[in-house]
This record gives sequence, structure tokens and C-alpha cells, in this order.
Amino acid sequence: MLGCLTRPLILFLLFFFLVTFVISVVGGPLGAAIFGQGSIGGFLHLEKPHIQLAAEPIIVVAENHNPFLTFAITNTVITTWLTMAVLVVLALVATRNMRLAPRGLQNLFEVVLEYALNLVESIAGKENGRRFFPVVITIFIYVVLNNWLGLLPGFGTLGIFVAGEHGEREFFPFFRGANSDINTPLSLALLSAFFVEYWGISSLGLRTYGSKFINLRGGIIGFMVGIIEAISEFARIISFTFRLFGNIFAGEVLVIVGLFLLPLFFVTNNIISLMELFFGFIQAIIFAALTLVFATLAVTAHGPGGHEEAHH
Amino acid sequence: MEGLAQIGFNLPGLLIQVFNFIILLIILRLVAYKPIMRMLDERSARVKESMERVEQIKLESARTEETIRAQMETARREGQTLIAQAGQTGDRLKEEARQEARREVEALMVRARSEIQMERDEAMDELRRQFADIAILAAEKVINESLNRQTHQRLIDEVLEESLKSGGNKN
Repeated sequence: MLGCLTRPLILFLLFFFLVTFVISVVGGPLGAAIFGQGSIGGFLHLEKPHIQLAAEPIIVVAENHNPFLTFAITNTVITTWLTMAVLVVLALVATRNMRLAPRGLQNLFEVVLEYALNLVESIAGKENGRRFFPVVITIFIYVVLNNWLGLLPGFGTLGIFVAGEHGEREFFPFFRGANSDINTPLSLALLSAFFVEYWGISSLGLRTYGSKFINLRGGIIGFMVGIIEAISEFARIISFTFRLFGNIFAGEVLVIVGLFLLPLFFVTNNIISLMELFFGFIQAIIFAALTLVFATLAVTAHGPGGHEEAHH
Repeated sequence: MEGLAQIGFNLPGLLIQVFNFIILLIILRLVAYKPIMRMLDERSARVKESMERVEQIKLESARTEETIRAQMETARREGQTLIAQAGQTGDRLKEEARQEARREVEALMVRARSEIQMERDEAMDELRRQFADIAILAAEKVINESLNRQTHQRLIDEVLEESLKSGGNKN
């Protein structure tokens, strides 16, 4: 142990971490709270972190007195477009010169898609797997890229200060993780539900599929089960939405708070970012996998009492 | 509604995101999934096909090997038959030659024997003639008398007849 400490590089790093940590604590909001603002504590004079649930509008297209209907290009929409652009460009480059013996990006795309396709087919079966695959894999790569883009430097930090309604300064970041805006997860949840219902109806027919929800043959119990099925169908949308939104928004808040509390001590931020990288991946998998499972359940003819539900 | 807006719900924003996802789905489907899936299917079909071809070639080569082996077996048998036939023919030829030689030898011996016989006969005739002449000469000298040649000849013949008879008896 002592032999290790004598090494100059390690010693230097430890010293560096210690200094940044002490400066961060004393100069940051913690020091301000302990020693009082204006004294030695809080000499870094940090802005209070900007945390807002609603996405910040960058370009207001049509102002409405009801904020629910205001049409604006928000920073999350811009991030979504960025994600789309990245994906489309990557796909174009990968499939530009298709070869039977794949190379480079084509190879990477093929490996990923083949793995995903095999996974989907193993769950949903060969035929249904092919049908579900494009939607499921698009949900996955769209969500995961949105989540990871939101962790890039500049996201949530690059922006402008605007005068607010009451004269105070408001910070408007240009980019923000798309899934930290509830509209993105909600749109995905609605589309996922739409595709699940569509597949269910097109596979089983409207009558058979509808009998899952309006069950007149199973007596009172069967009827009640049908109603519960219908409610759970709606509950899925809500759980889809808030699972993704909650995780990603919480992650962004965690990053911001970590930066605010220990502004120079980047180790905290690195650990949080790594965790968020992992959570972003997991959330994308959960969203895609649950869509796949619900779709598989929807196209399977239900026997009496065959009721399954999965929530995370 | 006010509360929903505070969380961030926004109808145009929601519609934009729905629209975004559908656009992305369509583009990726056209640009990425379809060509890549086609490529994957094509490749797996190719692999399957070549596997089948390999299997077929293996089968064919096994069949060819079997044919070749059968042909070699036939050839070997034929060769053995030929060798056996050749041996038989050789034996026959040898036998024939031997018999021919024997026949020739026998013919030669017969001829030789008959020639010997003939020569002996001739020699005996000659001897007889000369003996007759000597006998006549001797008789002329002994009796000193010129006799009728014809009577002489008869006398000699008689003598010779007698001598031959007696000689023949002695023999």
C-alpha cells in the first residue's frame, strides 16, 4: 500500500482529485450553504441549475393562449431530428454499396440486425417476427440513440438566456435528450399500442380480437375480465410513457445536479454518465421488448382465462 | 389541461414526434431493413445452396468411386481369365508341337528303315550277280570246256538254287 503511494503519477492524481474535490465543495453550493454566501464559501458563483419538465421552445411557430396547443419547435424536437439524420445517414452509408461479403459499416449493420432479427423471431415466431421486426428494431435504435445523444457534451448546457415573463433570466438549451420530453415517449407508446392493436386485428380478425375486450360468452366474470383487459391496454400506454420519460428525465436531472454540487470534481459526473449510458440502453431494450411481447400476445388467440400482463 | 401542459404535454409536439417516428420507420425500412434483409436472405440461401451442392458432389464422387471400383474389379477378372486362357493355349500348342515332332520322327524312321531294306536287297542282288559271274568263270576254268552258254547258265542257276536252298536251310 505504501509502495503504491510513493509512485509519483498516482500521488499526483490523488492530489489532483483532492484539490478539485475541495475546491468543488468549498466553492460550490455546498460551501455556500455551510459558510454562507459571500464569504469564502461559494466563490464559484454558480447559476442555479435549470430544471424544467416541459421542453423549451426554440422557435415558436403559432402562439396559443392554451400552452397545450402552442405549436413550437422545441429543443427535444431538434434533438429528434438530429437522431433521425444520424440514423438515416448511417443507414445510407451502410447500404450504399451492398456486397454479398459485407465490409465495414454494412457488416456492422448486418450483424446487429441479424442478431436482433433472430431474437425477435425466437420470441414471436418466424412469420410474425418478420412482421414485427421493423417497428421493434426502429423503436430500439431510435430510443437508444436519443438517450445516448442526450448525454453528449453540449446537451442541456449549450443554449441562450432569455428574459422570462417576470423579468428573471431563463436558460434555453438548444439540445435536450428527446426522451426527457414527455411527448416523445408518449408518441412512441401510442404508436406501439397502435401497431399492437393493428397486428392483433389483422391476425385474428376484428371479431376474435375484439372478443378479448367485450366478452359476452364468459358470463359476468368473463365480461369483467374483458373490461380489465381493455383497461390494461390503456395502462400499458401510460406505463410505457412514464417508464421511459421518468428514467431519462431523472438521469438528466442527476447529471445536472451532479455537475452543480461538485462542479470541478468530474469523477462524479463520469460515474453518473456511465450509469446513464447503461440505463438509456436498458430502457430502449425494455421499450422494444415489451412492444414485441405485447404484439406476440395480441396475435396469439387467447383461450378462456388466458390473461397475461407484464409491467416493469 | 394546465397541469398537463406543465408536465410538458403539448399536442403539436406530440404530433410532430409521432410524425417523426413514422417518417423514420418508413425511411429506415426502405433504406436499411429491406436491402439488408434481402442480403441476409440471399446469403443464407446461397449458403444453403452451396451446402446442398457440396452434399451432391460428395454423393456423386462416392458413386463414381463405386463405379471405378466395379470397373477395376471387372477388368481384373477379365485379365485373369485371359491369362488362364493364354496358359491353356500355350499348353495346347506345346502338346501339338510335341505330337507333330513325334509323328515326323516316326515317319523318318519308317522311311529310313525302308531305304535300308531296299539297299540291302540291292546289295544282295549285286552280290548274287557277281557271285554268278565268278562261279561261271571258275567253272569255265575248272572244266576247261566251252559249253553252251545256255546250258551253263541253267547249270549255275541249279547250283545256286541248291546252295541257296541249303543256305536257307542252314539259316
